[in-house]
Amino acid sequence: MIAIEHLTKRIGETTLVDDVSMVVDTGTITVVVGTSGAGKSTLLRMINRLITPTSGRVLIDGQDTMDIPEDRLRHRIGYVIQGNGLFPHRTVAGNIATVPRLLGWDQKRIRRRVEELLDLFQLDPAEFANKFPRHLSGGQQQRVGVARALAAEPRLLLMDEPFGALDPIIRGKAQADLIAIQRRFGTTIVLVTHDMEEAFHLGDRIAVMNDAQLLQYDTPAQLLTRPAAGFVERLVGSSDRPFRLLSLAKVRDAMEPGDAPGEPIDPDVNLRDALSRLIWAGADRLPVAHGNDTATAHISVSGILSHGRPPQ
Amino acid sequence: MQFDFSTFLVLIGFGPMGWGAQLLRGAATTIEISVASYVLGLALGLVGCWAKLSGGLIATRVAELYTTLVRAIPALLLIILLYYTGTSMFDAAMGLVGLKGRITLSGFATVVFALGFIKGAYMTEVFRGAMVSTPKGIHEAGKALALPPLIRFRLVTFPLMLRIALPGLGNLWQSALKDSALVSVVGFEELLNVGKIAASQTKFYLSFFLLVAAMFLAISLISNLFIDRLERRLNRGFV
Repeated sequence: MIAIEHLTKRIGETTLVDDVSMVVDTGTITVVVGTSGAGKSTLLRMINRLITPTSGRVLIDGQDTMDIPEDRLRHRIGYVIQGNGLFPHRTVAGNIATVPRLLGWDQKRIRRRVEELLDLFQLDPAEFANKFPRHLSGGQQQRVGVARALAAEPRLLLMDEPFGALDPIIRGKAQADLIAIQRRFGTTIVLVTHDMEEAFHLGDRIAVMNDAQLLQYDTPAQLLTRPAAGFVERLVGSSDRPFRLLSLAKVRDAMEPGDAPGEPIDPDVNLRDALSRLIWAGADRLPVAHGNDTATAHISVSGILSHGRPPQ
Repeated sequence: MQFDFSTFLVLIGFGPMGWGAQLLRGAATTIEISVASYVLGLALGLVGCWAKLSGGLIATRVAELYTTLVRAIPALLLIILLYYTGTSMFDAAMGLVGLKGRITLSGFATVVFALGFIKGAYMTEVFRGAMVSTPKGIHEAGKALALPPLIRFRLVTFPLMLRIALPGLGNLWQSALKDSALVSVVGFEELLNVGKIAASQTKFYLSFFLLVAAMFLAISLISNLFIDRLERRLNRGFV
């Protein structure tokens, strides 16, 4: 658990982060979103002390980060920066092994860890371990950047606009990978982005920042249905708000008892995709079932639509 | 006087009349002076670069004074100044710490110091230029991975900086090689000085000077092979 308490950063007359307090639960993805210059990156860098706060403190599992030696702290916290920051003169394996080497792991353990991470990111070790970053595509470089940050098995991963430079298709893949890895290792992730879509896609909770202040920190659904007046409302209150809300809920949340004719839908599909299926099939209702199981429930257009507006 | 080739061959040979051994010794001295002063210059250049980019106000000012003065004053004049005052200043300094006369500065050390001191000023600028050209994200990544400052420098900053600095450093090596001839002014027996003595004693002026020129060229060509190799190594991952 990370507790951020009254964190403030001032440089001269300028306040970059103004009295921010929030709690990040272990094993969750928290997305900090806001326009550029809102103070998101500064907030992130105060967590691993790349920037020293003017006042306030950060507690990791109850321990004040100022009481942990800087290098120990940063070895426990993976950090992925904008544009990946790979060392261009070191191979993929060399880049990933940076921190394990520093920590004095033996050769065998380092090699195993590098191979494990490359496999995890679907990069064949035999092909990629000895390549230089320049010879990889943008998406591959990005994956190596995350692999390097994860090399020493940190419990906490900070990511500063990690997918900003990727094209939409590769970005979608990278986001899916991140969620998979987070599920697998239970890593706590704090991710900074200016992309609202990305925030809703990845975040268990979303922190909205503007002008150095934390305006709202809530679950995506709360953010959509009860946005704070002003900036947050304008940010989330676009015409596709109902659809965003639908994509946060699953079929299992909206299904009703009783069978229906047609091709069954999996209960783990989100409601936005389910609605697409219904529209496309020209049906008012479709059965819900896992794979080839017999359907005992169905989903209807009206049932889905009721999830696309705030509860009364 | 008619050029007598067979006499010249005897004069550059290794017999009792020949200057061959002395010329080779002169060449060896030239290489020693060049390498030693170059290494000293590299060290001073790194310190100067650090002082200019991340030192405090005083260190920055001192480094600026150093590069401005050294690059403005002719090398020949600086060598004469440092050679004749350097030894007495060193003796005085030794006197202050109570070691008067116990440690003395050899002619070689003085000459190397003078040349290295000059090279260091140019190296400072070459390194500084290279340093500011290294990508900023890399340094931040190094910090975020918690590499200790010295390891960060050795593993990341230095190799990247060196790659950018190498053409400039190669240039400075060529000039260090030639500048070593300047110390003939204080009577040091390096290659050019030996050639001059041989030329005046045998009266084969042009021949000896051409031979010395050829020897400088040879040393330079051989060192180019090393520089090319280093360049290829540092370019790994960039092409």
